[in-house]
Amino acid sequence: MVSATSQAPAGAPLVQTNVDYDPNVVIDTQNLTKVYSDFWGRSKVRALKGLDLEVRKGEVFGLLGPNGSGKSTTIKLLLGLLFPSGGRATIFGKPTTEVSKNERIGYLPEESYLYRFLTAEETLDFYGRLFDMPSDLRRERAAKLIEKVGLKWARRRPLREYSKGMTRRIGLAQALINDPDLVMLDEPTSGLDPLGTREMKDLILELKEQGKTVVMCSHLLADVQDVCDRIAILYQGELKEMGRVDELLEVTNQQQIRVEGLTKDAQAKIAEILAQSGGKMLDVSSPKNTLENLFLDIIRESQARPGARGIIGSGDDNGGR
Amino acid sequence: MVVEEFRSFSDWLLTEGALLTFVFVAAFCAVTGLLLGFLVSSFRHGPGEAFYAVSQTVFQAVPDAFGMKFRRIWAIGRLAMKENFRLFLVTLIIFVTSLAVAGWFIGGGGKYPERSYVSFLFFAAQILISIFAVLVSAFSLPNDILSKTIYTVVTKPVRASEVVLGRFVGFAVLGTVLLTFVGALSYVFMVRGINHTHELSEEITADKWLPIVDGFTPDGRRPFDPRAVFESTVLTTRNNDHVHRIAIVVLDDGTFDVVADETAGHTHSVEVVETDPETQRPKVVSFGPPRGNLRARQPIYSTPRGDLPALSLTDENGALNNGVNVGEIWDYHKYIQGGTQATATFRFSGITPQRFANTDSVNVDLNLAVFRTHIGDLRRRIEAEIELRNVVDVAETETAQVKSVKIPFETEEFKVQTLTIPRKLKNGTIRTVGQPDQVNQEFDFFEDIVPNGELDLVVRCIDQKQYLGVARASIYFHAGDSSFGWNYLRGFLGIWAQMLAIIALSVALSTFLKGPVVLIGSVGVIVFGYSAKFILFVADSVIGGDRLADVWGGGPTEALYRLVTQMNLQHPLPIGLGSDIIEFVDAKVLLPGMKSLSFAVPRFENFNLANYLAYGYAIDNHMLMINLTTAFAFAVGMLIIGYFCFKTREIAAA
Repeated sequence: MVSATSQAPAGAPLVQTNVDYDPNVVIDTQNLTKVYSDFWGRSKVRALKGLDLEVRKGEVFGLLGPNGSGKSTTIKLLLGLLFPSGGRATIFGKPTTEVSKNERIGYLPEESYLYRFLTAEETLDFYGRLFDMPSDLRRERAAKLIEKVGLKWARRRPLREYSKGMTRRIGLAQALINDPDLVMLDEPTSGLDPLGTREMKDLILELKEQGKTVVMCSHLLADVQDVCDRIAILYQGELKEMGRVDELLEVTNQQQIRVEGLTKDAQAKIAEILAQSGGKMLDVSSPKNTLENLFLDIIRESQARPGARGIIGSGDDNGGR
Repeated sequence: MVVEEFRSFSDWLLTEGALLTFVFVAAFCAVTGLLLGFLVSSFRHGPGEAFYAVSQTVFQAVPDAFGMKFRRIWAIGRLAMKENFRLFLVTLIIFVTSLAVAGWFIGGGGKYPERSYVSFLFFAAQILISIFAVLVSAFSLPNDILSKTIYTVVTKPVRASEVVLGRFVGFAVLGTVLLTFVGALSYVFMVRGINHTHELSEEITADKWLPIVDGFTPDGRRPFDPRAVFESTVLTTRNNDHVHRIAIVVLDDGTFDVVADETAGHTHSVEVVETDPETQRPKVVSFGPPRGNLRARQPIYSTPRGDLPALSLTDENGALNNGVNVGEIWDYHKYIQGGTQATATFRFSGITPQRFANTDSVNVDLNLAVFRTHIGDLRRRIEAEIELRNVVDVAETETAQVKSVKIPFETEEFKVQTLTIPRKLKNGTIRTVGQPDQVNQEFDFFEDIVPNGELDLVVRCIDQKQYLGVARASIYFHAGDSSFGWNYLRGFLGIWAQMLAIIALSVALSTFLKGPVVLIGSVGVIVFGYSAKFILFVADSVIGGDRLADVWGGGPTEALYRLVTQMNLQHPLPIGLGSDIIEFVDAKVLLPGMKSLSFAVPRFENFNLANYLAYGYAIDNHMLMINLTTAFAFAVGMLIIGYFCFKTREIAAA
């Protein structure tokens, strides 16, 4: 029953009026720009500069960038918390200011901005009501989600008594209360212990298996590397890199050979006599960089040479990393 | 009780232009809002984009209005209630504490203790509920935005209209529950404080009953009940800071009745427990609970009839005038001269047997003022008479008969005096055009005097050189009493209406301002609403240019100048450019603006209906309807403004 109600509730079906809408594209931004202005309308900060982004159905998409790079601004623009200064953005083919799009979205903010005087059950009941869910469905989903995030033992305690990790868990539960098609996670593993982090990553992969689309921002690059299919790296409001994680991390001008059962002599002379050594070749491939190295390289390069950069996903040659 | 406004709901809505004012203010706000939105948007995105943005916002209001879901509104309302439950408890505790402290000071003493109770309780309830309403609604949404908890709400399929309305509903329900507690507690507090009984201070022996001779007691005093044949010198015990005297009255069937005098605004039922076997007069009596202090009289006031006013005065020559000026600045009462043919005519309609439950008598309540030019006989009150006259169109037929009955009475000042008019009237006069008067006629009040429900009541003052003061509310037919408890509840409806207006105002302001600013803004608007009458008065006199005649000190800028320079209010401003600028700013900018604004803000003092209760009158239905309609109209306007402000606000930009 839970999985069957991921669409709009009965009586309020989502009507798709955008004729150009591709159902496989969940998020689409074109030249999305955000300029923060002061009281008098004077430009203060150009937080996002012409972002072109496309997130496809069923993928786990990561937004990376240092502080102030425009990640949160992008998420807020997509959720309608901010209004764009230029360009356009659609989610499920609808403008981001349209309320009905939220029926298919689950959002976990970077801090769990929840009402601390409510208990876990009351919290989920409240957010369930906001989705206009009937009471039996709210109860059923709340019970399942509380169990899923491991808070059954604390479900009747007010959130003010929760630790940060527990608050993140209940925050995740509220993001999933409507069984969303698109889950937007802002720093999902922040505040979680290693076990909790592992569970969160498993959950993201589980959501992917269920066909959900996940968009996440994170500073924890290892987490992103573990779960994301594609990533975009933002720096100072500009998109610096976007593509599949495995492609981005591939060092294309080098090869690595994995062998097994070599003698010590052969190991010493492996560079010259690999073919005659008698060893069994297992794999020849390019070595992988770490995401951390990639990220730092891009940031350093951007600092040294400001401006747009060739993007691997867009077909530009990214050189030999 | 002073009643200056006699307006029906329909008169207020249509004739006085309340509906028109609402439409005008709404249209003004709409045009201003659109223009402002367009200008701001043009400044940022250019006129083309601005037109699109404004149009989109306006058109989205339609689905946002009709697409609201009760479950979401109620969810947000419940959240608002839970969030403020602690403040609810604190407010209730403060009120209970204030009752406990007030009990030491109010007590049951004084001439009319119920007035002290009602005034205090309504004042306390009104202040407390207003503060509660402002506090809960001023900080809730700004705190949500500040703590970013609003992010998890507006990223759900929640419309801006639901966020605004949900909060209003939540605060309104919480406030209503609080008001219910406050009302119930205060009612119990008042009834318990006023309720009491007495005992005899000593046994009434035969020598304690003093006979009434020629309408006077042996010590030359008038008895408190004109029907009394004996008054006892024995007083009751002193309870609630007062004592009563008792008297024996002979009833029509020859039996005795014992009555207690009216002290502290009430009397008591008296039951004879034991009779003196020798004199057959009551010896031991017991007293019931107080009667007559917690009342809700249902008055039928005089009303205009065609072109004729509800009350008109004539001088000694029969010419219409505005009464005699006896030198009072406040001209609520109009005076007629005694010992002359000067009259005050009250025109009544709707005097039907059904409204008086077909009783054998009809009560007329008098609340007259007296102006004495000489002291006269101190033991005598001013004598006057009323004449009840049927209403016929004499010009229509020559046989039309004017039937009238004169009823003399002595005025009792500073209290509501009741004249009981028997249904069967004697000594009536029939006057027919061209025929001699027929006197000593017997009339049936309903069949002969008010066959069509209409009646002229003419008042004359008999005593020479004394003056009788009348106002429209001075004389009314008293069609029974309604329940005081029900009236009390209706009084609290006034406070409830005010609470709704304040909540809507604060919620609307909280959609675009920070909590402390909302608090100051709300208090400012409330003070402005309370001062609206004065602002209009100042504006009219200053803008009209005749300010020396009406108002000292000028408008706000001039007042500020005088305050800073410590200049006397009556001293004219020095002639020069500075004074010209001050007067220009006041007369052409500030006061016209304030005057316009005063039409958009409710007159908050009108929500206080405590006077009706304190003086024992049923709250006028029309007044209640006007209050409720004003509050609802203001609340709807504020919520619409709040919706557009929230809708166009970048939540995450705060």
